[in-house]
Amino acid sequence: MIKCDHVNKTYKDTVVALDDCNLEIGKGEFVFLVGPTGSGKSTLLRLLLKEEEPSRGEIHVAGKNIGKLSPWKVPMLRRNIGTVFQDFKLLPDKTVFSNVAFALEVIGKPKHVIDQRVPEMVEIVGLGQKLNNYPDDLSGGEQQRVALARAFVNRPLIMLADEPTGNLDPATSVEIMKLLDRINRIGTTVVMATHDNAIVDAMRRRVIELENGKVVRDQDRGVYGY
Amino acid sequence: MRRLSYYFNETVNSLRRQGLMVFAAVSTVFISLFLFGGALLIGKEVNLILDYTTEKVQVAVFLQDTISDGDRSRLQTMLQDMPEVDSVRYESKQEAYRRFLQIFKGEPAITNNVTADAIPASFQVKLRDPSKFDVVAARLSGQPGIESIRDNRDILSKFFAVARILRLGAFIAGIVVLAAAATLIGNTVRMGVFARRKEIGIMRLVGATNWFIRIPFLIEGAIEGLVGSAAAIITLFILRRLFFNSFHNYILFWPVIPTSEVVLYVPILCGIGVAVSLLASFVAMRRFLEV
Repeated sequence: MIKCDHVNKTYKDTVVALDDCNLEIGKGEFVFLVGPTGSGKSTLLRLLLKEEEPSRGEIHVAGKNIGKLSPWKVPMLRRNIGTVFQDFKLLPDKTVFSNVAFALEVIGKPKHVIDQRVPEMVEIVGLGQKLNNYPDDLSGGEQQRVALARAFVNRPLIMLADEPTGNLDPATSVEIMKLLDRINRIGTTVVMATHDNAIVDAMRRRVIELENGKVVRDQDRGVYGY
Repeated sequence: MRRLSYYFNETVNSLRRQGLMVFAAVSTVFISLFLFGGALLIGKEVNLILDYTTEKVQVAVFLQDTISDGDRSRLQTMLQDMPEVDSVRYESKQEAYRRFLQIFKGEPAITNNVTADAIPASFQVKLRDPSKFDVVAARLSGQPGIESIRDNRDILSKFFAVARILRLGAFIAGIVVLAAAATLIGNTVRMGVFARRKEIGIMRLVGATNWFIRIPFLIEGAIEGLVGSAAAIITLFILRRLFFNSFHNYILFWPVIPTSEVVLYVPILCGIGVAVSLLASFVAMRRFLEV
């Protein structure tokens, strides 16, 4: 589903973000991406979304060499990838319903599809009672669930999560992880960059560790540290 | 349908949020196109007057009162034989006086002080090519009985010079202001993009196409251009009514551009306004909307 082949990324020719990075992630896998700040986790996620181009190497996502993807096809790539972030990225002037519906609206889904799928999706993340609330009325955990609903409402093949629990307390984090696990169990490939050792240790999934842009560990059913 | 209402809402919201900037952009489009339209109108008017005058007599050969009948008929034959001359008409003192009375009827202050005696007889000559006046004048010089020869185009040439400068000035000013208008529209669009950068970021993340993101901003720019050009067109129509028509009342031979011709400028001005606005919006967004 995801394959990186000798991927290098340098900024301004001097700062090395990724250094000869090779990895392969199969369909339906759940992968933790760990490593200290600045080790290249976020860069890797941005490259997978084709927000940036690798300096060298090839990246395949969902069977396509995204380096060869013409710019106007990039939106189609992104429709196959759901994304959640540490800071939720919700629009404060839209309700829960509108925030989730936004993801479908901007890719041109008809209204009857939106009216059906959005409440379903919000129900799945457990916020069925709060469809008409605004993000500011919600707790951090609830906001992240809205973000998850938005990322998954179009049923993408891949979920990318960049420290989704970074702003949340441990109990709330567990709830988010249960949702990600559920999303993974229906066949979605999940890649999650995180610093949360408790979660990584509890889930016992594949762990890929980056350090200075290099893959230094790739372990099935791994833990956060050695 | 849903898409159309989305574009519409986005555009309206954005225009409302940036009221003052939008006003500045629309005003500059208005000023620019007003100058352009003014240049077009002045140019058209000058051409009309030129047509009108060149259709009429170009050269008047005034005769001395003492000219003999023999000299007069010799002059007439001479003029008629010149290849440059299209037609010659003799205007006697009485005919000239009647025409004078006609032109200045309702101006007793002028007509009361001039007798038929004061107005000379003349040959009213029409040339095939008005610019050949010098040739004709040279051939006539030294002939007996001629008081003076007048090139009628001389009378209007000062007016034409002023009109040309006015037209050129309006045209150049129009271009300069149009550049300012383009910058201002580009800037409003850019500020709109900046104000909504978070939203746009999410749109790109969930796979909205670039055109989907761009279209509301392009519509916004086009509306600003369209409103500005509409205002310019309305103002030009009003000014044409106020000024040209009142000139027409004072100067009888002043031709006024027919409305049907002015209407032809409407699509030109709207076209310029919208095209420049779209281009400015597009260029302004380029940098912000790279994938």
